[in-house]
Amino acid sequence: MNPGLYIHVPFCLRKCPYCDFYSEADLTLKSAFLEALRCEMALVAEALPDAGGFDTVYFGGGTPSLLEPSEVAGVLDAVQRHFTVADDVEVTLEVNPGTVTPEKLAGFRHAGVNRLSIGVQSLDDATLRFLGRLHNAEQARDVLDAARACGFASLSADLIYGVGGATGQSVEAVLSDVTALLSYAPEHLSCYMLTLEEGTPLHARHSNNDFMMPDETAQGTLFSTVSDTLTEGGYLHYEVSNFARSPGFVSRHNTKYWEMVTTVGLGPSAHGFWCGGGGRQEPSRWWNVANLRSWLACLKEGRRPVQGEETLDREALMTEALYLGLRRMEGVALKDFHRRFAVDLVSVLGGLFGELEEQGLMVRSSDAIRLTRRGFAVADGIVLRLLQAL
Amino acid sequence: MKHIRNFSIIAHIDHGKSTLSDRLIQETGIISDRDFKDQILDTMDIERERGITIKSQTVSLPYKAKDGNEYVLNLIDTPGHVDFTYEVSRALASCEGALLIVDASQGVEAQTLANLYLAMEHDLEIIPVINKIDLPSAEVDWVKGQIDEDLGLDSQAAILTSAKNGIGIVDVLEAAVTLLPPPEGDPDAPLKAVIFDSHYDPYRGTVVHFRVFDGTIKAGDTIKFMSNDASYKVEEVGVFQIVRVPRKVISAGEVGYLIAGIKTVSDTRCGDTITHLRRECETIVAGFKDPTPVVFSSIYPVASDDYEELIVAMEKLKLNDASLIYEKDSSAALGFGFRCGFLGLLHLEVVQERLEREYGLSLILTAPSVQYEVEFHTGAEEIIDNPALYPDPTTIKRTSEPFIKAAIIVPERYMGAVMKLCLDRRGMSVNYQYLTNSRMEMVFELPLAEVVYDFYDKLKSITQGYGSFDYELVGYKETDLVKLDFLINGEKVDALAQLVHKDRSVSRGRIACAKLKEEIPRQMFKVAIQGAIGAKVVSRETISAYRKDVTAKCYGGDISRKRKLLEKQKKGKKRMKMVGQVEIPQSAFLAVLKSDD
Ligand SMILES: Nc1nc2c(ncn2[C@@H]2O[C@H](COP(=O)(O)OP(=O)(O)OP(=O)(O)O)[C@@H](O)[C@H]2O)c(=O)[nH]1
Ligand code: SF4
Ligand SMILES: [Mg+2]
Repeated sequence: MNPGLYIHVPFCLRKCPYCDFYSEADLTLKSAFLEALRCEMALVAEALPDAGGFDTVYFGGGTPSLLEPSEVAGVLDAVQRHFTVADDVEVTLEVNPGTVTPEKLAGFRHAGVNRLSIGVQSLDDATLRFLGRLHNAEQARDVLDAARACGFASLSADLIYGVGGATGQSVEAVLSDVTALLSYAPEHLSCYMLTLEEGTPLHARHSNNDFMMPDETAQGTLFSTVSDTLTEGGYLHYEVSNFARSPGFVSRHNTKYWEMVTTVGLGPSAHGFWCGGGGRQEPSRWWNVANLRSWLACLKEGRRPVQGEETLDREALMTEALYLGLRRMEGVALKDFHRRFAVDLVSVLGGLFGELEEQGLMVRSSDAIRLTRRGFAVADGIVLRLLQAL
Repeated sequence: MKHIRNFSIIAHIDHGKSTLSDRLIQETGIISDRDFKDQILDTMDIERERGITIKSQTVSLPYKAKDGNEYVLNLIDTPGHVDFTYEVSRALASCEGALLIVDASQGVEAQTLANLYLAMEHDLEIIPVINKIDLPSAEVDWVKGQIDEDLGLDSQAAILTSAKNGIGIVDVLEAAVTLLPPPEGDPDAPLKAVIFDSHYDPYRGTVVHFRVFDGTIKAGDTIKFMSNDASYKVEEVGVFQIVRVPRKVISAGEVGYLIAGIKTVSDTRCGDTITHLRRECETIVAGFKDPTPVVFSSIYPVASDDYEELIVAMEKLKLNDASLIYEKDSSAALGFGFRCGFLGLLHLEVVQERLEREYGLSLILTAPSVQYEVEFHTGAEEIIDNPALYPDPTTIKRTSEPFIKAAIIVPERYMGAVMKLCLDRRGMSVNYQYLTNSRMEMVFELPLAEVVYDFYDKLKSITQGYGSFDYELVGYKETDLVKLDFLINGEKVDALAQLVHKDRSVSRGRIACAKLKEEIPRQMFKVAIQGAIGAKVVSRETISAYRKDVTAKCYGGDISRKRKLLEKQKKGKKRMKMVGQVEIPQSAFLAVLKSDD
């Protein structure tokens, strides 16, 4: 499979209280960022000469929709100059409601973006307020409409559910959010259960008992509500938090993370993964410094802004392969796993498999084991059990 | 030799033995203030954390007395908890005298009496000491009355101390010099010494603690252990002064240690006599009574591959804990391990903690049991202390269980509460008598099985800390016993099985199932817990399955973060034991014993 390219745009109008992605609210360094991005491309192209043949480019963030269409075009142009890019490249850009006009969206399309990932989060104003989002439901609807109107054929929408507080999401509330979104018939949906990340203001408020979160049982119910509703609506629940209207609309870029295909990350805090081979023997992961100024300073000195790197030994690869595989609808291919790690998963699983199957959490086809949708809800626990058995 | 004094400090738990030892040590100046810390003889982490002494410790103090002479005072600080009486009795065998401490606010308690009797058995000279006189609640005259009447000692000889504030310390030292007899023995006779303790030093091998009765011992000597004829060349002898201090020679009447490159751990036996290979003594020292274990439990490593390490650890621990008794054992659920006898539940906990801390093991202990006598229809008899080995009930003609005589000392006002507790525990009131100061001694016969678990804690709580008790085994009585099995998701877990009195079996089963429910974490699937007698289920609990346990986002940097977390969690899971497909934490095995009634 071809490698993918990720570009982290580290700007947001304001920091959302639940978010632990790296971004800055000060946009004055935007042009410096864009300039340095070209330098990073040059350095990466030199360091990974055989990384070429990207068939995905993903603008993530942060809020990439704060870039002007011309700036996006400039970046894509630089990508073409520094790397080999496949003809049918999937170019995704994350868009936040409230940061774009219909014209701007058209401009992105014209610049070469062919897929939008829209940070809807909710179509309920109270929920959006709880999440501290800058936009309201109407703005979210407008973006969805405008994106369609200007001809994007591949739209993804992000949804956050299981929020706490007085908004405290009931099953009905989540259902109505999902149903409302479905009326736009997005090709792809990412539905995330709200996670309180340490170090975020929302986490601090929760620790301070400012609000309650749904308990684990309620979360389980919400998870299956979302899964059932979308599945009945014809979507494939193809990864724990991701749904596609048909196999063709599965996120090509994100699938690279889950299938452990090489990805290159540019921009502050971006991560990269090298799947091994090609002169750079060991599979490895590396990550850029998560600070715009340090990132700029490195590039100014002509150094790659890599903060850390780790090579993955067999054990680590096996852990990741299991974890990532079981989060997906395809599961873990038994033959492939055996070929890579010389482990016969079925015999290692032994009685545990029977127990999980009986409880409707896992199934086995002739050539793979996979979790059921109910199994997805407890995937972490199951993986841990499997790892212990290994 | 006339300038040597060997004595133990004995008392009920917490009356201040270790603190008084501290003051005596400081007074004689063998340790600098910088190196000093409170209860300095309580060297084990577990002693310091729990604030109690578990091991007897010897320290050799140089003291210039008021008579102008230099004395050597060999002091042994002993534990007060009833489980460690064996430590006290071995200490007393190396002494000519004892300081019997009584807490000025608590007065005479059960182990004050028990330890007094022990000292009298050894014909020791006893000096009563009333400690903690600084406390506002101290009642010296009240305690003096008890010393006269309850202990039968002369309260006029009692020394008043505050170990905390350093009051009366010189009086204690002077009394030891003037009132206690020096040791007897012939330094020119063939060597005769007794091993009263030992420990393992990773650099030097076994370190033997001994008391010399006759003769002398020095580096270069070839010695012999009389019980197994093992002979060794002595590398070093010395005395304990917090640290080991080498000496040229240790002579009759003295206490010390020796190092002799002893590699075979099992060669060293507590109570054994040491002599010279070429000049043997004629008789051996009487040695020590064998300890009487009262509870039995099996120890298994959580990870089965740690069994070899456990073997080595048990041997080394045995060196330092002569009361530990064990033999090989195996379980269907837990693999290979050891069946062990303990002097009580605290002893059991201490052994588990020491094995885990000092030898880095992670262990599971099965439900403790007492020893039952089973008589079969065939006339054959068997002793059973392991529920897993309990025979088919239809083959049994009669089962008997051990009974104890418990002596409980309480202020009069708690008499009713104590009576109720003991009757609830299937006890029988045998006798009671009034002591001085409206306190009483109540004597009960109780099934041992009813007291080993939490009797002492219960007694303490119903008497607001004033009750104390001591016990001895008195024999066996017929009983109605059943085996209570526990099934986890339909699978019988032999390591959880218990032998219980039939009348108590249903409530025990119910409580234990509830405890298991608390201890076993939720899993990905439903877990059914059942208590059963034979095929009959007497109690059940269900642990509902986890509904949600999954990370929402999984891109770029999330992946390595999650992998590291999984690796960490996987390590943390070591203390869980898999039974069938269910993870049972180590703590569950002990929790089933705690009663809620
Ligand atoms: N007020 C006061 N407290 C004391 C005195 N002596 C000891 N204590 C306190 O009593 C508690 C028990 O003291 P220890 O010296 O550990 O008692 P022990 O007799 O060695 O206890 P075990 O070894 O567990 O039997 C500690 O908290 C001491 O600080 C004293 O003279 N006065
Ligand atoms: S807009 Fe997105 S990236 Fe920016 S702070 Fe909010 S959640 Fe984070
Ligand atoms: Mg002590």
